[in-house]
Amino acid sequence: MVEIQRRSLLQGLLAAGSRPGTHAAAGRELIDVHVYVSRWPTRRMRGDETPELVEILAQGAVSEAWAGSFEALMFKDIAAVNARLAEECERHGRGRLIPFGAVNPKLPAWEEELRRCQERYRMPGIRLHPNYHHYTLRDPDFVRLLEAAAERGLIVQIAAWMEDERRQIPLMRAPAVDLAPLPALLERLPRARVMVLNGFLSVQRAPALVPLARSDRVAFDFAMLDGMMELRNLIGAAGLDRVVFGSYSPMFYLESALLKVQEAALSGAEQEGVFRADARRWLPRI
Amino acid sequence: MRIWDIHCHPAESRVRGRTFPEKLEHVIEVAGRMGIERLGLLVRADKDAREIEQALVRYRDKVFGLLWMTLWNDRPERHIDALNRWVRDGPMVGMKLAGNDGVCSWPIYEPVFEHAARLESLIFIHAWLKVGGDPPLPGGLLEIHESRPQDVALLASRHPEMQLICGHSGGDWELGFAAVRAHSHVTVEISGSWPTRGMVEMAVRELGAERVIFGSDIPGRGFGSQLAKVLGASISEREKQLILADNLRRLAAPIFRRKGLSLGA
Repeated sequence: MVEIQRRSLLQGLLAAGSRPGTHAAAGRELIDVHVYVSRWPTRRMRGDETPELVEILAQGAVSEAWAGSFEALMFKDIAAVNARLAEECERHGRGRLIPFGAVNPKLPAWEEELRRCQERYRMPGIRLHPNYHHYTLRDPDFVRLLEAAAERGLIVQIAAWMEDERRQIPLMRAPAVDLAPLPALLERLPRARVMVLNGFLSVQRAPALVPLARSDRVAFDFAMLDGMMELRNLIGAAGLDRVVFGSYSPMFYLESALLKVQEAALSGAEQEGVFRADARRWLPRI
Repeated sequence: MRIWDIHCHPAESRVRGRTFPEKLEHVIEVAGRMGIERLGLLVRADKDAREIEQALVRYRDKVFGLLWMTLWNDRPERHIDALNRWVRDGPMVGMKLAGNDGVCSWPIYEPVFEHAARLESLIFIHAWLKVGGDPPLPGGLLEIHESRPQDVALLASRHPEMQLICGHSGGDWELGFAAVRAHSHVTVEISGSWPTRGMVEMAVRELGAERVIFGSDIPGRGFGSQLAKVLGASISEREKQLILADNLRRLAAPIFRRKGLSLGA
């Protein structure tokens, strides 16, 4: 039944006269691990006000979305960013938005921010932006942060890429994060759990993918992944239980991630894993 | 919705299959799953020519061909011969320049474009603006044989009768739409970039839905990510249908009719 409902959603995207997402049956569960609130620094878009984002997610039948904040990229007052993120999720999310706060290990007192994320705002994880905060995954400060988050049992999402480098604003250029150091770090830190967001354009161009996927404490979203049947290739290379649904809404059209599932011709069981079960293993229902 | 995709590369190594026909059948299968009715194949004809020709005839109700040309490596007369071979006398309906095939505004290439227009050929020009240079600026990174949307606009300004397709919307589409906006006979194609929200809405706002067509650029991009740009856009259903198929069918109608190809019901 669940399989039929999801097939209906995906086929609905291509149906004449339809509004994407409205075909989803009530009660189904789709967890999107990768959305943002607030405004992208250089462009306005539908969904950069939280009520609009919630509407987009509802139309896409997303029942739970893990949200970071675009403000985290450029703001120095990360404490205020996280406070607003928590407030926006609480006020508008209606239980649909789960905040993932930002921590910048290159700023003073990041340990206190990490503590607030967990203890004050009850966030289940944090989202890092190493390329916008100017550190690599070899940086000792990052390693300390990963260790501290692991100690607290927090999920660490690493946003490896935000925007096509070929069309970035010259003053805001940020090359993609090099994920190569991560496999060795995960071996050193047995409690660390890392979710890689926007990690790869394609499996072919992802040298870190296979070594990373050996760990059962890693998962990948596929918002940035592109190419014909590339989601099928990702599942083949990383394993179904390492792949989680991430749309990168509102920056990307939510329909992109949904249609990739259709293109890859995932079976009912595979859809169940990608849409819900794999993310739920990381974060049991709150 | 009826969907026509003008931008497919079935011959690429990453497409499953050993031969051109095998690869093409795989692409047709995946496209069918996505509800795509017709595929534009951008193919070089210097190898597998016979197989390509046969495939274009065999699957004439599912695909159409555009000749992928490199202009800088030969004389214009040779390119005109190729257009005659494949478009005038053969099964193809258009020409395509990719990213390293020649800057379309260079005067030396004029005879090629003029001849293509006389044949009522679709003319598809890859165009990309990349940030770079010193100091880095939008569009500041120039590749020697790559067209920018400004080059498409320049060519268009010299030939107000010539229908041109600006591939990838110029890549940096916020700039690309502006670059070609003044030339109503330039249509933008939306493939080859990530499905960034607002792209198609801006195209419709600045150019009108009649000047936007769908392309995927598979296998480098996916059908799903590229379709999402249209299906997810905050535009009307009529505008979506124009972009997904009707505009391309209108542009292709003269040469399709001349060749006896079906435009669908």
